[in-house]
Amino acid sequence: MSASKGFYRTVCRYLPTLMEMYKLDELTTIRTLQHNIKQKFYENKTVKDPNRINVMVHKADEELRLLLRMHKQRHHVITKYVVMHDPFATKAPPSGFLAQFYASN
Amino acid sequence: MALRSLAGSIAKSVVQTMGVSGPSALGAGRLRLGQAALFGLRGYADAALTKDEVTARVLEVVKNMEKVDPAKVNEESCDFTKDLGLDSLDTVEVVMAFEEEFQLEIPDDEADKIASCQQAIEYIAQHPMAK
Repeated sequence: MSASKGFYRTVCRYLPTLMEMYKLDELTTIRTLQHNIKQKFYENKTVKDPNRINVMVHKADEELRLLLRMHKQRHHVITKYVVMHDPFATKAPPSGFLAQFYASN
Repeated sequence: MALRSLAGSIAKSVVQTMGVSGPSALGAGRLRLGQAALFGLRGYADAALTKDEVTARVLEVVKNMEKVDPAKVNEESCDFTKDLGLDSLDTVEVVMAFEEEFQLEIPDDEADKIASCQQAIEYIAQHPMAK
């Protein structure tokens, strides 16, 4: 079994535990959560280099361990896996005034 | 000789607790019957699943998967990737759905080998713990 596939299996097995630990059942369902996590896997679909895949799986595995030890807080989980909205992912374009200021200097 | 008399006395007490008397009741067969009664009636699990039942349930599980077109699911040619267009993560989900349906735990290397409905049916039908 390839590393990523095996890791996806592990994650799926831990999902009910995580749902209970972080009380996610009042926000989402296990199906939706599974779907969201699958999207995270699909984001790196184009990566084919086995070394890079191994590193990514290793980092994800670390994250899973942290989550299982409650080293993360509920809002971390919610922003990352339930709402899936990262406010820093895209930077808002500067306002008209700022754009002018940047251009003039 | 002492052992034999001990066995005889045990048999006698067993039979007495059973409320059965008479010389014929002291035979070895009776003793075994008495022991069985002492330890309670043994329950036997249902017989293994029939292949038809497994087939029907496997196909039902696959049809209920999110991405699968139920019309494409049939017993003969049903490769998860080729015929149903599932990717490797979907295959993982299908195998986990089998585990849930049949109350199994399929180890990773076995799960890797299940790539079509036929293989799943074969694996589950010969699995002793499948329910």
